[in-house]
Amino acid sequence: MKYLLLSLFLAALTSNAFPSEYEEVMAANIEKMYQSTTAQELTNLANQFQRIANVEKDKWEPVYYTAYCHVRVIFFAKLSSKETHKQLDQAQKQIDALFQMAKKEPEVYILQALVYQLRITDPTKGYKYSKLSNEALTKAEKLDADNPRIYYLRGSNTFHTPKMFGGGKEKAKPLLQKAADIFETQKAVNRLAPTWGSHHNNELLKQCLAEKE
Amino acid sequence: MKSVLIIALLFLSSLATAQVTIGGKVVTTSGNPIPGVNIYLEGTYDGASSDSDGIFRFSTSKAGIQMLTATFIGYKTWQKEINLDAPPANVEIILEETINTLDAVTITAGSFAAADESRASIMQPLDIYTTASANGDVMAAMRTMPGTQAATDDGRLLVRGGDAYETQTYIDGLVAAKPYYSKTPDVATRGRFAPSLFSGVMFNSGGYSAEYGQALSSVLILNSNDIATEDVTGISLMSIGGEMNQTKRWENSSLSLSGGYMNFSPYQKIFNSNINWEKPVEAINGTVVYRYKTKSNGLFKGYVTADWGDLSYLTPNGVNEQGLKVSNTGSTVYSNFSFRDCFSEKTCYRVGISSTYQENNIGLNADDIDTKELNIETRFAVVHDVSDGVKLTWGFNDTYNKYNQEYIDDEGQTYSLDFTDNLVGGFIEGEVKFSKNIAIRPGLRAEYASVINKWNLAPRFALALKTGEVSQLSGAFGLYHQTPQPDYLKLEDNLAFEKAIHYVASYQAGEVTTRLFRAEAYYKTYHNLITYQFGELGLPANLQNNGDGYANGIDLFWRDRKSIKGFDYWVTYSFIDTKRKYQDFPEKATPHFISNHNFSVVGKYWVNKISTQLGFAYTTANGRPYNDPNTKEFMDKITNPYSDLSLNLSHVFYLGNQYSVLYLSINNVLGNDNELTYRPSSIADAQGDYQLIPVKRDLKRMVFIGLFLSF
Repeated sequence: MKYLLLSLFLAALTSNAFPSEYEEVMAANIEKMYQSTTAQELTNLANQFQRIANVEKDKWEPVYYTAYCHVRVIFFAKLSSKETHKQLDQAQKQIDALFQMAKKEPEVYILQALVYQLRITDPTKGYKYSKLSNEALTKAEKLDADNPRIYYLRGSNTFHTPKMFGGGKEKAKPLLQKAADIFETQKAVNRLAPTWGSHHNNELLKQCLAEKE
Repeated sequence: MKSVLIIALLFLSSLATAQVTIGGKVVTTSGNPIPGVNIYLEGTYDGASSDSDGIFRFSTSKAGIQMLTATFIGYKTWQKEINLDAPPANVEIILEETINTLDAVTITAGSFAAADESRASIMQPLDIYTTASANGDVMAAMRTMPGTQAATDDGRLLVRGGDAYETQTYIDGLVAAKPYYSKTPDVATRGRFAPSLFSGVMFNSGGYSAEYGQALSSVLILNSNDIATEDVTGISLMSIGGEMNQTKRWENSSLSLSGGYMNFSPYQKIFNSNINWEKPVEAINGTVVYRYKTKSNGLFKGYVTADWGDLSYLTPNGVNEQGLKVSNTGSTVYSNFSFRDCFSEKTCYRVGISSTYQENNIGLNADDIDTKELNIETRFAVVHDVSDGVKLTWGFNDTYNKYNQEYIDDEGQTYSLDFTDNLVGGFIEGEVKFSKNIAIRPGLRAEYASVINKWNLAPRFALALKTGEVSQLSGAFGLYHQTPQPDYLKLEDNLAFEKAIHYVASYQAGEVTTRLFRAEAYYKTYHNLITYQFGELGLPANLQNNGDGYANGIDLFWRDRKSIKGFDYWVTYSFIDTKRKYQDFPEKATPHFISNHNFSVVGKYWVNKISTQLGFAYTTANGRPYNDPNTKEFMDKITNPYSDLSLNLSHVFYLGNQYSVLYLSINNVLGNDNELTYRPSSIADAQGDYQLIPVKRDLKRMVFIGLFLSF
């Protein structure tokens, strides 16, 4: 009996039936990432994901999270527009690599759309990058129409676009609402799948609802 | 047995977690700590990031010889083998900067760009539309750049003392032989190509790269848009005509069709024209643009545009009441096909063919001049990324020119003039960045023109020195050649290349998105310019390369988009001192299109509340020399100073998910009666005096209204 237990225990050490080291490490770091709120923590995590990506050459998620960490820095650090673009250039480099390895992955197009939207650091850039962002989101929608981040990013861009250019809270509301509905009901396909967006989506939706009253 | 197993197990697990700690510091070559560096053991997850003091520390369960790697954006990757069985106490990592980074020095001397991502940018593509005096003409917008002449009676680019023919226009690296509509006496012309086709414009006023030949003074480089982003239908209704376009986007390609019709008759009815129009300008045009992206990310661009135009007017000749009747009918077809792709990650190429075919008929009273010109250029260029900071470009071009002119005089006599030329050119150019702060660009160009059976060799050199975060010094030197103009070659082919030598020094500080200052000084000499005397039938005779000249000056540019919110303005001042002997000049003189001082201010203010942009452009220049044949001295008279204030308004609104624009502009709001130059009558009167006929702009005030709808 003891031998049996022992051999089971030894088997567990090497077996794939149990979560792999890759999945464990990724899941832990992804969780850490969502809780990080400083540029330094996020840069360290970007490096961590980069290290994993260097080893796991056939997996797209580590590259994706490397890019996303670089993007996430922008939400928490006060950056000048030049620094913002530099940060986005780093993310773009990873996204370009993602397009080579995961062409059919809707999340890649969604992340690309987010990067384009963040490039709108002044109103003169709005036209160009809104168009590019919409193009990327259309592609994502073709691959998976049920991804809530598509509608969240569409809604967010509409929210921030001036009314006279076809934007505004009223037009953003149905998009954000649709995103919120999917965020609420949908379960992540696996533990490494991206889950970001619902918090900010709710924030924006709240502002849209407040507008009406 | 049991205990042995347990001990063995404990031993195994302790082995598995036997940890080695690695630590150290990451610094630059000058010893400053670098935070955020990724330090790790190659092929493992184990590693850490350096902190704000450049210090890192991590533990690993790996053993033996491992590769320690450090990577950071903008720096070369660092690697070193370490033995984890005897781990080093402290690893010092010195990272070396890579040279090819975005903020590395760029050679900017003499180039003024309107592009999104270029260091030489002083404008952005949209500026061409919103500049008040430009009226949607790329060339007119470039005339607000330093180094150009205000000369509004011409309409073409006159750069740093050079005549209009000394500027060459390139589209996607291929020559556009006829960038302007036909020029007739007293009437200004404008650029042929719609600004909406281009996402980048590079205006080089001197010292340009060995890739470009056949331009003594300047090259204007237009880069067309890539694949259209989406389906659009556009309708433009303008006070001078209308235009329609349709764009269709597919997965890897896009196609745009557009056509337009223009008629200036209503203007001549409403406004008083300085020109006695018999048949105001009427023109039609059509354009096809096709883009295709290959699987390997290669891009094919195809562009064909055709236009037809007709006009006639009477202009005083100082001889009789009726004056000189000028008429012009012409059609032009321009096509441009290019393809760019890469052989490998380090080697890319561009290949293309462009052609211009033009049939132009000019009538001067009863005389008729029919000109047919064909220009075909093929080009091939290769760019190698040799190593970090070293780039090598080389290429060839062949330009075929066939020219035929028939002159039919009032008695029906026909004179035929023609020539054929094959110009073969080749260039090689290196760009070497010694560090992020110093770059040089040596180049060499060689050309052979069959019509004159001559060779030329043109060395070029440019350098740039970064002096601060956003400031740099640049310099350029070069020899530039140009085959004599068709007007001379049709008469005489025993000629040589005209030649210019440029020296440019430039200082730039700031950024186009905030504040930018540019100062350039230049010195230019001209050699072998074509000279002639008027002979039989008023045609040039005794054509020789006997002319020479010089031009030197200072160009200043200041742009500020930061100081006042929503307000963007730029100021240009150019001083020039130039003299040349060419054409039929009896002696060295300042040409008639030169003002020594040119000053312009362009301003734009965005009013968010009404989503409207208000713009103004003010240009002033001192008087230009002109020749009064009644005096002994050549070119000794000076016109009155010139000034123009133009205003415009663009209101942006939304139809469906596309922007539409309502546009209004008024040129010369103040109604200055600018006498631009004077033209002597062709025959002296009974007293032996020549009459001087002032040349003015067609319309004193030009009002333009346009509604540009897209959906």
